[in-house]
Amino acid sequence: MRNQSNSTISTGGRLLSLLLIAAFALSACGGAATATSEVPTAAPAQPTEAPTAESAAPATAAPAPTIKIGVLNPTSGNFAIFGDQVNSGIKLYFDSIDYQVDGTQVEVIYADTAFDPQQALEQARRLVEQEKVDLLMGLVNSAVSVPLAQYADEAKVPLLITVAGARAPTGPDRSPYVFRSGAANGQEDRPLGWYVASKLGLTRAATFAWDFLAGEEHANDFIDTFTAAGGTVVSQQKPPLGTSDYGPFISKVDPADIDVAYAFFAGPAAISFVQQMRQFGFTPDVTLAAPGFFTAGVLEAMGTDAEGLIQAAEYAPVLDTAENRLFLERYDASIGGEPGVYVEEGYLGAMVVAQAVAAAGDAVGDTEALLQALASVDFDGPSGRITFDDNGQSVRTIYIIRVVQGDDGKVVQQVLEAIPDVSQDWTP
Amino acid sequence: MRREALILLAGAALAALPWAAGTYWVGLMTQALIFGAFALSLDILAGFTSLPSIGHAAFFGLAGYGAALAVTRWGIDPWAAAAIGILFSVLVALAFGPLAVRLRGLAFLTVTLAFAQVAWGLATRWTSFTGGENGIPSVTRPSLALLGWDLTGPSEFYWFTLFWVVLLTLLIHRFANSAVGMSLLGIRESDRRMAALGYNVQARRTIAFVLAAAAGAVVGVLSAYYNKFIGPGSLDWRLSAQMLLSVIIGGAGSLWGPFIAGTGLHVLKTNLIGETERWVMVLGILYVVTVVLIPKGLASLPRIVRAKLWRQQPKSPAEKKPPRPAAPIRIHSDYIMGDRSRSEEPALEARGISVHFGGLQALQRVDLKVMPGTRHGILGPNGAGKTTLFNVLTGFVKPSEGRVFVHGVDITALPTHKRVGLGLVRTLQITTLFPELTAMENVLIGTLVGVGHHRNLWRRARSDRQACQAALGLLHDLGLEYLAETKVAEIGYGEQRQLEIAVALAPRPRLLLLDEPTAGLSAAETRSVLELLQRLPQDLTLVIIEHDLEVVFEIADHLTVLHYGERIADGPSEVVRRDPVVREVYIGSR
Amino acid sequence: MDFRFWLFQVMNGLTTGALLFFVASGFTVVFGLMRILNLAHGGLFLLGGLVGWSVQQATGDFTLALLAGGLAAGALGLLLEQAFTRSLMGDPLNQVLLTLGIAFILNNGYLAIWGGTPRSLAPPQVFSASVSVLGVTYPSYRLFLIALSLAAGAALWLFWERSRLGAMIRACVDDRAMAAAMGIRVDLVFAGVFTVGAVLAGLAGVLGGPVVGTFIGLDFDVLLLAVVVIVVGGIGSLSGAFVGSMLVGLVDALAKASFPQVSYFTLFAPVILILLLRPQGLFGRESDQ
Repeated sequence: MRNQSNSTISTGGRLLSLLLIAAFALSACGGAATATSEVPTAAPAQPTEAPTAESAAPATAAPAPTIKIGVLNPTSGNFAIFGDQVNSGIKLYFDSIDYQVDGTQVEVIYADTAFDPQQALEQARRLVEQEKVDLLMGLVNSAVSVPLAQYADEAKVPLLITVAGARAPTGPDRSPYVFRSGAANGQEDRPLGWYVASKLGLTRAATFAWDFLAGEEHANDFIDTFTAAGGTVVSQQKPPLGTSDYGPFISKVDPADIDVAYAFFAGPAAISFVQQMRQFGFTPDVTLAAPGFFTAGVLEAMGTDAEGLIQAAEYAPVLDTAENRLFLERYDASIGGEPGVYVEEGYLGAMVVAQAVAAAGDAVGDTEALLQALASVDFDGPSGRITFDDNGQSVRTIYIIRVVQGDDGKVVQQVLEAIPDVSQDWTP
Repeated sequence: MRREALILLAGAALAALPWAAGTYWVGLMTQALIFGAFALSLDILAGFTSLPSIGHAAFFGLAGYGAALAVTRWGIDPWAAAAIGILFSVLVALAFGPLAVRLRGLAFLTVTLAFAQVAWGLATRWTSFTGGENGIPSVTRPSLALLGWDLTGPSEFYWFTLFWVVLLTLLIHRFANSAVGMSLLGIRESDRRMAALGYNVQARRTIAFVLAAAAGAVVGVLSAYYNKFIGPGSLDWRLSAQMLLSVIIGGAGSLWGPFIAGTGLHVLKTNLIGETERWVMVLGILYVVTVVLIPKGLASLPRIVRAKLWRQQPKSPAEKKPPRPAAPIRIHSDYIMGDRSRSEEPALEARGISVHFGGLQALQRVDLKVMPGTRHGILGPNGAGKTTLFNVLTGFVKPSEGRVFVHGVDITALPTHKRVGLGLVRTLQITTLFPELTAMENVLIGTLVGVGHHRNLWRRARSDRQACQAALGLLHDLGLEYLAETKVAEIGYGEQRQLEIAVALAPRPRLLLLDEPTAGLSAAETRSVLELLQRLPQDLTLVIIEHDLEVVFEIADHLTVLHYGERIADGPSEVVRRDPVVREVYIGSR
Repeated sequence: MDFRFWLFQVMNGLTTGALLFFVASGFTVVFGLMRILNLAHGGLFLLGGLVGWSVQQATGDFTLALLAGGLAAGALGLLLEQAFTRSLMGDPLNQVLLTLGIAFILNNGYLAIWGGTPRSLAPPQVFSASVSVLGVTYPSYRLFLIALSLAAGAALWLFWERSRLGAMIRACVDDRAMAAAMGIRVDLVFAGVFTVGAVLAGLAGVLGGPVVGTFIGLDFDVLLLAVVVIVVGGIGSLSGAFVGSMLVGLVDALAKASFPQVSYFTLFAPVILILLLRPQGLFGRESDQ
């Protein structure tokens, strides 16, 4: 008897559920619309997807060269914020140049990796084999970058990693197809360790880093230069990935025993960490030190708990250069407010591509030429000069930053020192 | 054979893909086929056995890791590495499976989730060995030197994958239709009934668990070779969840639905991401719509469409019912063994049985002696402890005190299914026949045990001549032949009770325990059942629980009377029915 | 490893347990009563947190945020109950598909509305400082959470065991048909319980704001923990949910402190052990299997 009443859904119930689904569907469309309008195009006449060569050019003239770029970033799931920021930076730059580089048309296609290596691989295949893109760029998490670097090598498609830091893709076994405009894991931490010990005179440290490879790579580079400059590491704490309660780990360390605490966390976990360091009596007596990643997108949420934090980062909005002022202006005009570090990294990545395309000129369709052009990139972006080393890893300025309370009570980043030409194996 | 031919035909059609589509579709379909077969492997567990796992990716991933590590760390040939990976996964499943299958439903879901999370943690944490979250790249694919293929091209690997997926699908198909596969369907519906028919339920759940893991391991290795990479994502609960959703969307327990859903969902997801930023929401909506519109999954679509097209009404079983045979039919004595020992030793004996449920004393030191070839009735008002006594005799309930013997052998510690091996079979009070199977198939599940073919993993159970003949013979003997091809769901209640007896006879009992065989029947139906019981061979020992005095007095030659868990009378029928105590207690309480 | 250290860990564990209890109590009662495994429960939790955050941004008031978060989750819960419970009854696999589908829709919908930025709520002004307990400096807000969960647990228990309404709900849990025959409006009881469960989840989302923050993905994190809690505690049992929450919180905190090198396994390895030893959960009845 029960089965019968279970299987029959009353008309009312079914109607209501279908209505609800329809409402969700509408909100899905609405959501998509607002998400794209967050980054309005600079010139209304310029559509996001550039017209194809055939339709744009008169039938008689030679078709203008086109470069198709596939962007792979996470725009759903836990880390959507990072992917959204990088994507908005990429879009901001290409919008600003009207998708034209010296007569070459630029076309950009975005795809969601959802932070999942398997999905990232499938999307890379779709972009390369279906959409026929000439170049891949993006990637936020380390785990995605390793299989993607392998794929780029096999498919012989240049890949420009903008954020993901795993060392392997630009290590000794690197593929000639892989470049990274962002920092490799540890590239910021090396100057940080040195600076904390030798310039700030803080010599007793505890490290707190997620217990996974990227955490290890970051923390080890900090420890390397920190100890070389005379520091001692008292304790190394490794909470598992995804921990949000650091109590058991923080309380393993006696605040009186250290003067600096290094942290490698991100997003909500980083917020919890600064809060708990304050609550458990570490800060402000103990100085927090962390790479730029730590505050990405969450500095405002950390608020005054982040005060006094020392960071080594690829970028800070306060930089007073012509390139940065232009970037800030463009960002404020199209999106409003102040960009986070990942917006800049996306913007910088787009600039690198544009520079390479310009250098390749008419040979832009030739992958070899494009790779050579990428390798010889050398220009000043919002975050300063960028070049590539022999392994395709960027050599950049790293900024030592202190988080202080601004005039309006909000926390802001203040640049203490700019260390130029930092490579992935930098030593003082 | 028709189904097998269809699978081969579908495989052949799919093999043409590389000539019809570009490398993108070839690559996409490679991974999609892997996920289709992966979903199918989970269907063995979640669909057939009704053990929903949300940690099935553990076996997919562990095999992939095993193979990848063997290839990259130790330089082992990819073929041998694949064997190592699969073996590793199967060994883990063998260790964990028997423990996990003791759980059901949500608890099983949770324990599999926890297990997969531990595996994931291990892969992520043990960076020096597993490469941590970056996983293991540069996994070399095997080569087919004999065919001159190195499997590096997308088409070659697609065909390679297709071959294994088709083979796996055929094997799973074969298994699902074997005696063991069919018993899993039975266990899903009622594990008690299957135990009462002589099936070792836990062992079969374990087999399902291990086979599902093994099939998952094969595609896990394929996936690692296809991507030339393995990472912790392949152990993630999200992957397990996607597979579970594929099984549900496809229709749990169907053989083609989950495969299509697993394949289709991957193709859809990959292309949807190119269409909309809100693909997660679109997929969510799709899931919701599926539940609301086709709650039984894709597998039910053909039936729904057919019903819509032809507006078929289910045939009423009454129309098919022939007149009952007037003359009693002789039971095939070579099938039903009966008890020919005729010794003075009791066929079944219980000594001093006590059972407590919490504070409640259900049975108090009850003794029972059933002589071979007797019709032994157990009487008592509701709550007297009759069914509890049956449960003790057949091993559903462990007695707090006392022992049970069959032909002098102490069986107190034996599990239910082993008691069936000694010839002790029972019917259940509430009919638990399998509604989606035909009468014939219901009996077949029992005759497979009767002829000893119930452990076969390969032969189609429905083509097992010996078991089928036995089943048809039984139906014929009991005058139920006309129901053979009718689904139990469409059979009337009175006939179901008769069928119940046919099923209980199927494992070849020497001792048949009947739990209220006429409960809820009309007078006419009761008569049919009584006639049927009287036609049973005289050397088959019968123990009958009844509270209907008429029924008992008509059948039983020996009576035991229970009241509030105590035995108040025992002896030949004519003596006990005149016992004043019994008359007062029993008839008075009515 | 002195007394203060362990006291500290115990309080940490209890804080996590307190939060979990708010989520798990509604989750488990809905399952016990309606036999519905609502995998969208984490989505209700997150809605509470997000709405609470928005309200706190606008008004600066934590109490208002708490009210708004609870109400929003309750309203969504009621809507889901009315729309879907009929199709949910019966088939557990369909429940998984449907409620997981809703969970995905909610997760992605929140991303569209609130964006992916992780946020943190400020604790109410009264509880913004730390206090000293037996020589341990501890955030007063966390102590407040522990006390609140104890109070809520006691109140729920009294309601469950002592009130007329509680008795009616228990009657429905035990035998739905009998309850209906006795004149209890089972549909109203269902709607009420589902909504209250949703409100509790929403409140938990706001209450957890100052401790774990609110961010996309927290919904699934919390869901996994809630499943673990109710299975370990015994499905459908309120006291099981309470003990399960505290146990999961404590075991995780203490094991992480004792064996930090295996901290990936401190939550799930004990779960496997408990379930293998006691399949019905700590407070579950054999028949619930």
